[in-house]
Amino acid sequence: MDARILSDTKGRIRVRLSCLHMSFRDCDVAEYYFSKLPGIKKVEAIDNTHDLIIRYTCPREEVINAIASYQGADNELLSKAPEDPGRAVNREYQEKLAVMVTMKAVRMLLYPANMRAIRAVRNMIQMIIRAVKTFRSGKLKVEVLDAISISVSVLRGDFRTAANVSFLLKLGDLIEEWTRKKSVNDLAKSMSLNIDRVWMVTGDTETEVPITDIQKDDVIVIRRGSVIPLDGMVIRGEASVNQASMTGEAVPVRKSPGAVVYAGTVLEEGECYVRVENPQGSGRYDKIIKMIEESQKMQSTTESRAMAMADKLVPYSLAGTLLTFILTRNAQKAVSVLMVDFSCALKLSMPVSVLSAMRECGDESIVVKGGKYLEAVEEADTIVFDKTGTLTYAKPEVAKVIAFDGEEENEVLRVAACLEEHFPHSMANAVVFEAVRRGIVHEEMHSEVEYVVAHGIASAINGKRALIGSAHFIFQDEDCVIPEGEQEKFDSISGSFSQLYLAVDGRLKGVICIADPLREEVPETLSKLREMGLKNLVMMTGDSEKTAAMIAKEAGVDSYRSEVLPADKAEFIRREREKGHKVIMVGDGINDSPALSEADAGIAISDGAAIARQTADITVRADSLKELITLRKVSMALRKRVDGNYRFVLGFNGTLLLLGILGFIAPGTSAMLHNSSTIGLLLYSMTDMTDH
Amino acid sequence: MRLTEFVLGVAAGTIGIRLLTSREAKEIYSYVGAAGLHARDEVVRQGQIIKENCQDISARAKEINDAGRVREEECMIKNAPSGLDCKRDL
Repeated sequence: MDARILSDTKGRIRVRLSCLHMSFRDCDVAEYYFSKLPGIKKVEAIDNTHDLIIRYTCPREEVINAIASYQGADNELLSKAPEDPGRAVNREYQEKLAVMVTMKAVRMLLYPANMRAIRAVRNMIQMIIRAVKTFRSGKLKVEVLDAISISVSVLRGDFRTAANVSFLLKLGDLIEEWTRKKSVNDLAKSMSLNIDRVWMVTGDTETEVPITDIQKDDVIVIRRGSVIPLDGMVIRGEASVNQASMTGEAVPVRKSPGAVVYAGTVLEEGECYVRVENPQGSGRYDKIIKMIEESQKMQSTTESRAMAMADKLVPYSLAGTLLTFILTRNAQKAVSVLMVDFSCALKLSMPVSVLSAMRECGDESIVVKGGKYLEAVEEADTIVFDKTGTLTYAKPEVAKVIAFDGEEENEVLRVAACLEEHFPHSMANAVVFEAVRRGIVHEEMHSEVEYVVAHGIASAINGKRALIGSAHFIFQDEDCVIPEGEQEKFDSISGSFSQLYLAVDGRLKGVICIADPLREEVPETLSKLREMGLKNLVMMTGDSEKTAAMIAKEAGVDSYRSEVLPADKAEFIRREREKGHKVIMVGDGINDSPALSEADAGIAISDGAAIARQTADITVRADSLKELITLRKVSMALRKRVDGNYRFVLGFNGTLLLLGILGFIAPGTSAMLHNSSTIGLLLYSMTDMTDH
Repeated sequence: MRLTEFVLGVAAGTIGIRLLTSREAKEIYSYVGAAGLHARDEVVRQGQIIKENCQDISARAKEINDAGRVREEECMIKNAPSGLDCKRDL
């Protein structure tokens, strides 16, 4: 499409598209189209100016070419591009604002004196009615202060001040409503990209769709390791489902066609096609917005303290006014005091700041479920990491297979793969994958598989007990022995790998060495976190001591615990919290859920087990742990902003009060300054806190 | 003279009302209304243009500062003219 470049700086370009008309949908499509291109960081399309603002990291030529070759919205793009309902809302408020300000300007210039008086009286009556309505709550609220301010101005014949005050108050109300709606919408928009997706089956094809698109009677397919997302009936396939989250039974339940499955339970083995009985309700955005409003109930203590303080200050403002009048006998000074109240600024700017911080996190694909979790991240001094999948890539690979007891390497691998293929753990996948890679095929040769959490797998082959798992499991729990003469071979196995031990009939048959490399950004990330004030970095893993020691050293943690059970992780966190520490837990697996709930802030890696993501308070993108740094940065910036807001409100308004009492400023001026500063603070609270 | 006013009143009450609510009149009101809405949309659009221009200025300002910082740093490292004028252009 033809376009004119209006602004061209490094990494940012603004062009005016030469199209006749742009609707909201056209903008949605344009944003969708350009944001898909690699190297383009952020796109903004505006309907009434036909402008496209693109932030990019790729070469400028690519952006120019992309714009040139953009054809506009076609049916395919229209069906794919997500809708942004925020546009309509924003436009509504922009229009209201434009009309309000324009009409005010007109009135200020053209109104004759008696019209001013009439209008002022009318506003006064409106305010009084509003204030009277708040009496029902039994407390003195800000509306009462506003009504008194206006009434006093009118009664003194100061119509100009009355008009200004009522204008600013109405403007403030409008902006407050708008910022609230916008903050929630922005947050919803960034969250809708991070929402759970399920595989819907239509005919022969499977498509990944957001969970909120599923209707009743749609068919979805659920595979091994996933959480069953919705209630429904199995129509095809067989599976083994762990219903512990619902019924508490630890033993998985077999599900076949005709059986009912429940949302929130985990499909451990097999796969099944389910016809959905209970979809999640209409509208992706409505769902998210509802969730955000729920999360507003998870207010941080900072927010609740601010709200409480705001309400308490109202009677003091009134008392202050009366006191000033009594002491100075000057009505004007008393009224100046009346115009300044601390409450509204505090009450409005706090929630907006928190929502804005959550939205900023969302822009970086970090989903924070409530303000109090951001607060917890800022206050934390201890952080606990899971090893596999969190500090490591969780895509381990088999490095070596060492056979014992006269077995052959490939045979060991064959048996191991046969047992491990039922198990959704990444180590198991490595074994299975290696077997496939070596072209080893196996038939189901074992009987029922018993999965011992965090330890291993037990089964029977040809009547003989076959086990695969950790050293603790094989040697201590099950009392297997190392075949005679092979002790040295056993001892010489390098500790740098994670090890899976295979034993049949009580005898060690093989050791599979699995390499689970540390994520490359870990040492840097951990030292950065330490710089930002996290004092105790701990690694906890169910893995063996030798591997844990190596990874711990490489990562740079302060301490580590190996061969740990899931309950132990939670226990450790509980004890630290009792000591008064604030703890963050970072994990990804089903095993981490208890620990994630126990922590002050539980963070799950978004690629990890769905159940971990459900229990977690915050989810972070899978490909890099650097998000933790961003998270900490935003939470610290939020704290700084909240503190700053407090100080500004108290300082600025306190000064206005003083100036009013001393008679340096007229009530009209103090009202203007107070209300404008409140509005300004509100708008400022909406801006980004960190610069990126 | 009271009579004129009375007659005018009657006229307004009868013919006047019918004129003011006639189809043609409503057309006129619609045009006025449309003009009003259009004016509002223009105000909103102009507001958007101002906002975009401010963003442009902010982006350019940041770019200028970054460039200035880079030149300073280069001067620091080399500590000798490298074709760059290390004195800032005032």
